[in-house]
Amino acid sequence: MSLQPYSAYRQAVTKTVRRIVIATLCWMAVGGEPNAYGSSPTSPEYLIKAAYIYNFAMFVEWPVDAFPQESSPIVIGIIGTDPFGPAIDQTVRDKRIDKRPLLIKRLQWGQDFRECHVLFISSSETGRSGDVLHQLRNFPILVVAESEGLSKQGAIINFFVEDNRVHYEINLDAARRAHLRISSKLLNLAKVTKGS
Amino acid sequence: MLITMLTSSLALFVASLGFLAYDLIAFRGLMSHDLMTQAEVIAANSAAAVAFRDEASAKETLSALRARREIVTAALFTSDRQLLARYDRENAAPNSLPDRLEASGYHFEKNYLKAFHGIVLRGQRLGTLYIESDMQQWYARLRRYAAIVGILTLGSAFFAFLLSSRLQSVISEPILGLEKTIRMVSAEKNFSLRAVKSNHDEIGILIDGFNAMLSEIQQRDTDLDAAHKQVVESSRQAGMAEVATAVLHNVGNVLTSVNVSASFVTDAIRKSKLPGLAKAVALMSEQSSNLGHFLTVDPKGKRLPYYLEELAEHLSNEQVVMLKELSSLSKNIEHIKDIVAMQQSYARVSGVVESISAVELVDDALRMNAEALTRHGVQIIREFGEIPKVSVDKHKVLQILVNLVSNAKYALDEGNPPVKQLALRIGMNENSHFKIAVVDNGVGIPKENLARIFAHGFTTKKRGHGFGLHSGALAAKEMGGTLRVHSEGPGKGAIFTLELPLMPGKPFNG
Repeated sequence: MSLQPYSAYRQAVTKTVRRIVIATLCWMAVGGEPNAYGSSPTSPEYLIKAAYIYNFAMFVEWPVDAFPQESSPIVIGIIGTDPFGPAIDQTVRDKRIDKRPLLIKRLQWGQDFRECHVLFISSSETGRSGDVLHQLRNFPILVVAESEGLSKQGAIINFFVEDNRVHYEINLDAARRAHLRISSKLLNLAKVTKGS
Repeated sequence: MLITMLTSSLALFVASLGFLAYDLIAFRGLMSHDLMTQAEVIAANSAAAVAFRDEASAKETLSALRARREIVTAALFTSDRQLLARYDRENAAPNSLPDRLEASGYHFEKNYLKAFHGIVLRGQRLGTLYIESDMQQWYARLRRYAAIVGILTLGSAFFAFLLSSRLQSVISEPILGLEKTIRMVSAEKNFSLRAVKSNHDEIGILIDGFNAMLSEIQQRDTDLDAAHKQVVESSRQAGMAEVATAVLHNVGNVLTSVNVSASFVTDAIRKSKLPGLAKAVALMSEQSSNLGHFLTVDPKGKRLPYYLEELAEHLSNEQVVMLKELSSLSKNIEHIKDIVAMQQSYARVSGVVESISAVELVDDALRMNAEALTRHGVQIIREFGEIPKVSVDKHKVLQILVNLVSNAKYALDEGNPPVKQLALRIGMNENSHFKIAVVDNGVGIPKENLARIFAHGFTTKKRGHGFGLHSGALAAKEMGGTLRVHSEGPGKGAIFTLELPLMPGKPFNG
């Protein structure tokens, strides 16, 4: 086994991310069809985000009544255009947090989001997510978004790209409202914001 | 003392080594436990960093190890075994990382303690922490403890030295004292000395035993002394008896002369013409009426004047003879008186040292045997050298001399040489001793008898008891002198030499 420094791997990822970001911006500029993206292989950015979402679940504790049973799965809901493809399913396959398996649910508008423990709001849904966020804000749901605006509207974790790297910010007030306990270890790695 | 110190120091050293070994082994355990605890903390703190593959955060977490100087290298690996971050101690050449990740645990390898610790969160293995510590602490502890052991050993050796010096005064000194006493006892033959007992311990018992032995010896010495005194006293009495015998013998001889003189005088008186005078006187009384006629006419009467004249002459001669005999008798009685007086003078308590002329002593000895010597026709030769007056117990010396003269007379009788000669010599010896030699040309002494002639009970005389020479030799020794014999052999006479100090010194024995 060769032990490549992780930074090398990181650099490679970063380069790729940069390219993707540029490509995406171009694609958005020409107003391309978002659904067409799903059939293409998952971008490295979303590979990272998929892993991060799983990691978030590890560093967050839900209230006991959020689950019917001890071994009830942690449900990860994805709303909007799925940018992960099968990658996220692979990420959580066979994984357990404590005794809970993880379950990926791709949701449509109108479905009850409250069965989810983690809710990922795709960037495609940024515009119409404000009300949903407001409705869900007192429920123990870890809302993960990827746009600056949603963070302010009550998303607990928000991805952002800076220096060609994927970062996330955590809204502690939103987390407290949702009765979620976020590990300080996670907070150490995050940009922490307050208010809604 | 050296042995005591060596023993105690060595014992302490071995014990200290044991403790040291135990401590170092225990300390290794402690070190590994400590390292595993450290690893657990780092692993827990780095969980998020590893999960999110956050290199900066991982590095930061690892940098907490800076506070631990013994940590040489640490590394975080992700779940897919990729190196996320590593930490190397400052100013240290980075060690190579392990080829293979292992389950949680530690092992000692060369001079390093290496540990792996899984990074596990909520049942999920997120990665692995590798951490490597050097053994500096351990070696520092080893050095420190070795120094302590060294100091302790030296210190205890010093204390052992002090203690054994002190103990030596308790143990060795009584033994040295005992040894000194033993030396003094054997040098001075003084059995009244006693070793001083200081403590009631084993040595004290030894000293008690030694003292008891000395007491026993002293008691025997006293008994021996008493026995010796008794022997001396017996010999003195025996000597006195011998002297008395000689005296009585002499007195007897003189008494014989006295007796002869008395018989002679008695005889002379019995045969005296004195009755004839009475007869003549009676005849004259008968004729008293005509005495003139009788003297002139009668034939008997005519012879009477001649008879009287003859008688007077006869009586006169008789008187002369008797006077002479009586004078001899008187002289003999005087002689007896002398002998008795002399005996009395010698028979006084012995042990009194008097200043006396040696010649006088020899003459006295001769005088005591004078009659016998004269009777046996022994020629006395006096060879007296000039010597000063001697200070001796004259009684003892006389005993010896009387015995020697008596023996010589006996030897001369036995040997019966043509001319019986008895020589008495007085002379000085070197070392302020004088000697008196009694030399005879009598029967002599065979060589085999020379050695035992002074032994108690040895005699060649038919009626001897073998005591004279033995007690003589004893007495000479007692006075610090010697009595020796020399003889060329049978028929060649003998020389007995009595040698004594001019002044009585310390007696040779007792």
